[in-house]
Amino acid sequence: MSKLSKTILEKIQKEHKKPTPRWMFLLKNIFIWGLLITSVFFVGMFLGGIILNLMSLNWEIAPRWPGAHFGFLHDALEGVWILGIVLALIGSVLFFRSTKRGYRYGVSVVVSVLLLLSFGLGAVFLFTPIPGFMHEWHGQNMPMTIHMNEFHYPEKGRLIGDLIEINGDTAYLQAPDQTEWELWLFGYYPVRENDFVLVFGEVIDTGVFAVTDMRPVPSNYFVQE
Amino acid sequence: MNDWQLVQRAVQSPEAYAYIIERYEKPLLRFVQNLSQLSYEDAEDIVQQVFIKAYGHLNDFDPELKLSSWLFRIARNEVISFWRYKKVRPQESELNEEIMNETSDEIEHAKLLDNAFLAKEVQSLLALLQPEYREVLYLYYFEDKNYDEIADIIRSPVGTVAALLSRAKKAFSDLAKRVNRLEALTMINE
Repeated sequence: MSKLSKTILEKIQKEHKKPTPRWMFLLKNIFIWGLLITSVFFVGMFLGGIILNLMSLNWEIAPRWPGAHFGFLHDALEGVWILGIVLALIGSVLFFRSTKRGYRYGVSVVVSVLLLLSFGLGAVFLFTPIPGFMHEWHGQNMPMTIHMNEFHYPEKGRLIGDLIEINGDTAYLQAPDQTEWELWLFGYYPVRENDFVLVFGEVIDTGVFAVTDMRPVPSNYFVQE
Repeated sequence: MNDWQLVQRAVQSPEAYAYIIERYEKPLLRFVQNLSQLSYEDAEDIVQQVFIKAYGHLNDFDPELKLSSWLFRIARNEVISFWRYKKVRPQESELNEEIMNETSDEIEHAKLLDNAFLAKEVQSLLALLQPEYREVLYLYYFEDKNYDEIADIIRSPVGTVAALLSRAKKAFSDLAKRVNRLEALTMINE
């Protein structure tokens, strides 16, 4: 027996050291896999919420939105879920790497596979009421913001304001800058008098606007000057 | 008896564990000393810790790994913990003669490094490299570990090991050129 092995064995016996039972390692592995599955579940759930949000957006108004498509997406996406995806994804990568053989796969491969899995899960979530609840919760607790002064830009085909009167094919709108606009309507729009509305179209004459789309500001939007 | 059976036997009796210690103490000692650049005595202390820790974790041994890879991994972690504890990075140091002689013998088998370098020269050059590079070069050339085994030891994907090894070879080669140039300049000046 070598000097080193003798010293080590003496130390093991003196300190009454014993190999840790197998079930403790099993429990640890189960715990890590549990955390991994939970975090993937959350990535899927948040993705489901975002997919539902994107599907329910009215993309026709996007080109006229401040900042066009990008601005529209920026204003409409529920940022908290994106943050949730990033955090849960980081967590799931770390948990995966902590599994016994997780180190064998590169981060890019792990992220891709986890994202793919999460997209699948997100699609499954669409058939559950969960994304709807998330959207509702977001609307109540983290309202989206519309900056009135930024939005109201008649030359770019956008108006915002109170709909003070609807009279057949004509309506009247009072803008935040106190200007009054005569709106020419060419179809039915789901609005009522006294609604605070977003209007898309183009200026025909001074104070006259031809409407292509008009909708009330969603109740979950917070309007700022 | 394969590694798994050996580990199972060691779980049952500490005496069987002595066999594992004897089989791996020298390669581990060389690895720890090479990686940490510590004195022989300090490296021996670390190796003791490695075996005590490994004994506690015998039931966590993954039969997909080689026992040597598993022990090298624990040794590597111990060296890193030692650095953290001391908050130092390894410095160049003289290697123990006894270990050096053994290493020199093994260099004969490691055909991959250029034969023009003698063991001591190679070792002293390795000591000047970053620990990450030194570690993979040492495992590949001196311990004859393949990419998969190195990946298991440093807990990285095989692709990362290949890239690291390639960078390490380049760093070693650049360093060797610089040292040779310096030696030549010194001779000219003399």
